[in-house]
Amino acid sequence: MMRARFFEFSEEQLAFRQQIDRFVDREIRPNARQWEETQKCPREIFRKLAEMDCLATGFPEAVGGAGGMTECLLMTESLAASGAAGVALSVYAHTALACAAIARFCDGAQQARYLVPALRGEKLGCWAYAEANAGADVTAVQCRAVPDGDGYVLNGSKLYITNGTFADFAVVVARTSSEPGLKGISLFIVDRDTAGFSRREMKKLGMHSSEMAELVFEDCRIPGSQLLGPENSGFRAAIAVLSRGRAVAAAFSCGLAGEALRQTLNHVNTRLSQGRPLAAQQFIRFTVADMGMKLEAARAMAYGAARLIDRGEPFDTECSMAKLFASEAATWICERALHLHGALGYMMESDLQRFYRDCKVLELGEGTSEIQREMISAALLRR
Amino acid sequence: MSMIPWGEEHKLFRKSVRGYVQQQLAPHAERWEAEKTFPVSVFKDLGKLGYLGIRYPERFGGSDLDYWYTVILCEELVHSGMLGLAVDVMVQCEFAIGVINAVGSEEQKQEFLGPAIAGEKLIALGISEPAAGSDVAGIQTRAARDGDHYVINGAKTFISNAERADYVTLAARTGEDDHKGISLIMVPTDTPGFSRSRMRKIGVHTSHTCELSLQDCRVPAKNLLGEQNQGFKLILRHFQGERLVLACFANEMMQQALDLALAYARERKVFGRTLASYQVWQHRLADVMTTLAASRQLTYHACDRLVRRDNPEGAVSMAKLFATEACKPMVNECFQVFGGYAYMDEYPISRIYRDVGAMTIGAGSSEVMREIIAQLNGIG
Repeated sequence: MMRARFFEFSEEQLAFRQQIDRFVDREIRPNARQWEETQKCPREIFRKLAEMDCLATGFPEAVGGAGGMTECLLMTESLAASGAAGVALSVYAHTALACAAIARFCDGAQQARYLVPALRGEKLGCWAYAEANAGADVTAVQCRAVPDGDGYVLNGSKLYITNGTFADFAVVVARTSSEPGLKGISLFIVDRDTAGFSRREMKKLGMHSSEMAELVFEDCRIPGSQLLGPENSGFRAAIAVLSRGRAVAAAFSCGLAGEALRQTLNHVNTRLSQGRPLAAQQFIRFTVADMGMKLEAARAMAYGAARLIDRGEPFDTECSMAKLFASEAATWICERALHLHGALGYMMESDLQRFYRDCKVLELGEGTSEIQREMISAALLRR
Repeated sequence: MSMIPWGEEHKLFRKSVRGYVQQQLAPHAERWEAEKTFPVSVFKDLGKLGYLGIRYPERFGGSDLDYWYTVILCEELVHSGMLGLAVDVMVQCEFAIGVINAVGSEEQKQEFLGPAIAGEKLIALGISEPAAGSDVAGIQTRAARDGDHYVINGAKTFISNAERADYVTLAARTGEDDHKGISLIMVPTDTPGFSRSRMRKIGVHTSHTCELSLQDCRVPAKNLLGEQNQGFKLILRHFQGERLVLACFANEMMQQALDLALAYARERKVFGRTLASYQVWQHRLADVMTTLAASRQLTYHACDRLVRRDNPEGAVSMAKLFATEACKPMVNECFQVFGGYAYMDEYPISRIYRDVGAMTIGAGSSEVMREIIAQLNGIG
């Protein structure tokens, strides 16, 4: 499929994308349907990505990383186009959320114990933030860590936690002060085998090659050394992690929509109706033109936001705009892609039904479309 | 809110259908959806209640009523929470047998129509093929005359209510390679050479959708419906009802999603206030209500034309196009109200989202509806 050139990549970046694409064709695409069917995340993928020195893309060299945000987006887009978008989601939750939070605030001991093995794919993490009554609203977090001796006692529960079923550690957003609102929020790293920490798998509409869980903490005693960053400073930490994550989520949307479009272009060129390929019908041609246009606009916004991050410029609003536009474009593209495949697209043997189910989560995760609009309008009105 | 003067009889009929659906079907929705089936006894119950013979003569067990009652039946069935069950039931009582009532011989009506209306024999409609969906003139399944039999060879796909069907009202080629060479034949599913396999799909799980394979199936020539090679006309003339039913399904899927979203929006608090107290959600849900109201009125307008036999094709095509195309974005709005919960299988809104996926495809895709509307109005 031809890609428009609104955004220029360097030779190295294009070579990097090719490397990931080859990995996807070799390791993911042939297994995609089976992983989707069993609804299990193939955990060996993390280690295989690390062996290619790709898992730590976008992280500092000191912890084995290389490349910047642009490379991180290129990798995410390619993984999301693999036919098993759930795999990309699992990698995203591990690196762009759990590892990113640790990388930003960890001390030396936490870096050695968690970040380094995590970026080698030896320890897997999850980002435990959302709750029953706290989605985008960090101030409403009710999970509570009460100081006790030289540690804390954690109580509460977290919902929709990707990788939560198998993660070796969870980065948990919890309230550490009775002060309402933003101030009393802290981050903790909680080990899987901590007494009082349990999990329940949640079945979902799509992204079946990833796993999701509800995490429950009941009188969970955690040592003070598990506090990530200063106490009561977790709000800004959570916001920073989510904001960068939105640029990655935008690239994710582009990957999923790009694969749906690629398959649709093949289909309309080969499927006959009334003796002619579907593509001979003007209406069909115009629909794929709109699909391609929206995809390229989303790509330009996603990689534009990544460049701002790489240059150290302010990026919050641009990340929100890219995530909002790309996720809504992806949902539209995936719906049209299914539609243009006719009833075949609705059957489980088709990939299109999967993209149609998968894409929906992109409008919900990392702040719903409504939350993005709140933030974008707030920024615009402030200017 | 409706321009249709629903009379007392309509209200009583709706009340009785609703009573059955809400007491006997809705409580089982979660389990039957998970099992991807429902008991075959549901057909017998519906038969006993007279719901499968609404438009058909009393001497075959029908009620001799008009299409408005069919509209009420399919609207209420959707509120069982099982679109698939509603699809199978409407195939049984409308899509697959309407044509038997219209052109079948007395003997054919005795053999096929009566038992279908009673819910004792199950019937499916076999038109779509792997390479011919809305493009009916392109079907390749062939029925060759051999003495007093047809020998049928071919394949059908996406056939609802087929897994347990005793008969299939089958479209097959008996003549030229165009729309003039198609006939409708009743094929018993115990005919040697007939086989079927259930298809797995995104949603509409309680519908028993199958692929059919026919290999040298010998079917008595007396099972031909109407005249040979007149099948295409019969399909066009007698399957308007199927499109109207799809429009009704789409409307009630919107209604269900809206009811769920309103209840949740009034309860869920975000930043200390209910979702329903935010202006944006008030306006977005107002848009859903407005779109649904418009869609219902267009659907009822089409039904009115159908009942009065006043060139209904254009209105029915517009209603099917409008309702099913509106349904997907409106359900999407309601889905979004739930945030992350919507994506979880344990929430019914997630089922509605999956189910509406094929609305713009089945019973004639949106593109085919637009072709019909354009042609009828002399465009091009």
